[in-house]
Amino acid sequence: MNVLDVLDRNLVKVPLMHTDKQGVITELVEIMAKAKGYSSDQFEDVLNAVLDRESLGSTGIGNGIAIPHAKSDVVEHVSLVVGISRLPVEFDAPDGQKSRIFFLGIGSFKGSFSTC
Amino acid sequence: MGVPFKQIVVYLDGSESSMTAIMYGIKLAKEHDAKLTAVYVVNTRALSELVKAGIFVSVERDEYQLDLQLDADRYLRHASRLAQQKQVLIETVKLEGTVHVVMKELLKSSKADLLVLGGVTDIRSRREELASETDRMLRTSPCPVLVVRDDDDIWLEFEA
Repeated sequence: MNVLDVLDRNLVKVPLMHTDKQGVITELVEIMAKAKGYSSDQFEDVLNAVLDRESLGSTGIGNGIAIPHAKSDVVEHVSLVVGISRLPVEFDAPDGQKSRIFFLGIGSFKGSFSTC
Repeated sequence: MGVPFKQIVVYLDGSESSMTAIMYGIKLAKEHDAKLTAVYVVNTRALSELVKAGIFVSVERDEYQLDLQLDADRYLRHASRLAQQKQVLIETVKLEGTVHVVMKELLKSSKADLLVLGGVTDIRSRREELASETDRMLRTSPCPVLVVRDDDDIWLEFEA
């Protein structure tokens, strides 16, 4: 799978408005929910899944990049949102650098077996 | 030189194009009266890299690895059903590891004389060319490789 196959202009936002970790995650999920027409329950489901995953360990990977992600029943296929913040955001990355580039990835619980 | 082919191996990765490849492989095996093997490799290296990069925690790696194992079983079962439809004997093999490395070993040990692959990706960057496991298999295979284009005609012909 290629990133470009799951990304379109409605799933990219520059700059992001929020400047804190929870705000950025919420904003990224809102972008996905709006682009894909999710209900408020579906939005909450995805947001909670991402925040639950984040509670296991930060997805800030260093060099100013964070990849918050989770699995959710809401999505059928892998979905991606890209956001870039004007101001660096504290994301608890291992190198201590704040993050500016964010990739939100949501995978499906249904697995990839759909052709058979 | 193994012509006509006697040991055909088809690589499955869960993509639609690899399903086209198995259909083509089944027809080819029938034509050549060849032994057919379908292989799915659970890419544990990619999962380990994600943990190493700090993107996955170990519990996620285990969860995704289980998902991939289940996917592998389903795709291999589907390949068996397709082969059965055409009265072709098929062996299914599930492996784990770095895809192009374990495939190379399998092709050597099984003395395969043809590897059938589905879509070789549209390369958008040099980096992508280096990262694609299918492309790496194409370059490192010890036996001839047949790349099957993902084509509706193959599905229609198979189902006819």
